[in-house]
Amino acid sequence: MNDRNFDSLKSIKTPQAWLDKAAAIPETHHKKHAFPLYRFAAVASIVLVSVIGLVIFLTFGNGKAPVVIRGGTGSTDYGYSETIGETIDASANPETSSVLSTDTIIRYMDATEPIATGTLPSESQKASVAPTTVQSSTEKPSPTVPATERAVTPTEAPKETQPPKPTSPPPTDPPATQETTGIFPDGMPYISAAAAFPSSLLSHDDVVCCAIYDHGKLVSQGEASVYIMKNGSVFAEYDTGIEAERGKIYHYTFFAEQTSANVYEESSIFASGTITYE
Amino acid sequence: MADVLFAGLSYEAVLQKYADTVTGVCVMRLQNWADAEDCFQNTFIKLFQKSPDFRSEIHLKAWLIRVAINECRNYIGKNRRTVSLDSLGREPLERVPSTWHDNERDISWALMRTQPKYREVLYLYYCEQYKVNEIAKILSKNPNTVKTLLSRGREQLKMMYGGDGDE
Repeated sequence: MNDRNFDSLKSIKTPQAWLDKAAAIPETHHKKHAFPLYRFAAVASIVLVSVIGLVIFLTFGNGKAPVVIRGGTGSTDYGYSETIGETIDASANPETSSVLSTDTIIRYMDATEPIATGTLPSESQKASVAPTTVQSSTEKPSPTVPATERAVTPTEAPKETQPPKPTSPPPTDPPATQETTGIFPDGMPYISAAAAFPSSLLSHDDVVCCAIYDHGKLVSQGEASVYIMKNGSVFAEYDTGIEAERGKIYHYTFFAEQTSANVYEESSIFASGTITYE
Repeated sequence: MADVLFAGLSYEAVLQKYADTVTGVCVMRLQNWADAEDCFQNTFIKLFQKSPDFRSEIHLKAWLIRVAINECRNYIGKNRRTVSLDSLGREPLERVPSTWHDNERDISWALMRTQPKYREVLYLYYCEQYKVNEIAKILSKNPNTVKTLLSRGREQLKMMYGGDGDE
């Protein structure tokens, strides 16, 4: 087959018009860039979006992790952590130091210590916040629990957090609330409160509300966000959107606003405490 | 453009030296002058735009053939759905040199009537004098595959010649 004539095929001459057009390619076609512009545009857009995101984060973000719910809610029924990496003041009540989150400050208030003197809570509710479930028998006076308060039995509290048997006649009803104190982390200037309490405190029609007071003056009041946790407790949080003043002590109270039969009634207090912005 | 060299050759020199080779590949593959011209121009546009770093003229020629074949394949793929019914019965290469039709036993005439996959291999082997391994590299095929295609292509040519084709 090699003897066959391939010359005719090889003798295909390129038309001169083709050659002229091909010779004009350098003038009519631009050489492609070694680094295409679209790549530069893609990189620039990624950088731009990143910078915008960073600016937005630094402008509106607080740079801290959100509120972390510690696993100790079951041990104290009301315990929660509002602070991250803060100092510990568990010495205020040594009995709780073994079961509470180490970065939570829990301080128990006397029944006589004012919580709030505004419209909420009422005087009877103020008295009801006196703790009895966890207290130091040597430092704290015996609780006084009004009979009108809703009975609360913390079912998940471990034994070490159970109150010691008082020598005096025990109260007939367990307390409804427990005082906790949280400290705002740095860079979080807005007043907000959070608390955890047993879901057994809630009735079907309850709407959990929160009121925050500044030395008896009502700062903010509204409906709280409620989350039912796996361990049966309720986590409620309330964010006022109001900037806190450094060093000022705010009192918060989570209470139920019963809406059944369209009757506005503020009833039991689920949790109350103080918040200090340091 | 005069500054850019392709294996030591300027663009114009490459065009003058290898235009016929690229034309042959395109015409052989497409059997249509208009289509072949498109692929011919696209091949040299790619040469200009990409400006590969060629090791030698052999490398340059193989690259041109490879790109021309790919351009033809792409062209066929793009225009597969737009082939008119009239073109199916048309004699290929209406404007081929008159000598092709005058000599029915011209192997080029027969080559144009083989299947495209054989045609490429036969063209590169007999017309461009490439070896099997070189064809395998150009076409990105296994050398054994190229041998098989060559063998079957020869069989087709023999049948066209009535079985009297010699090896």
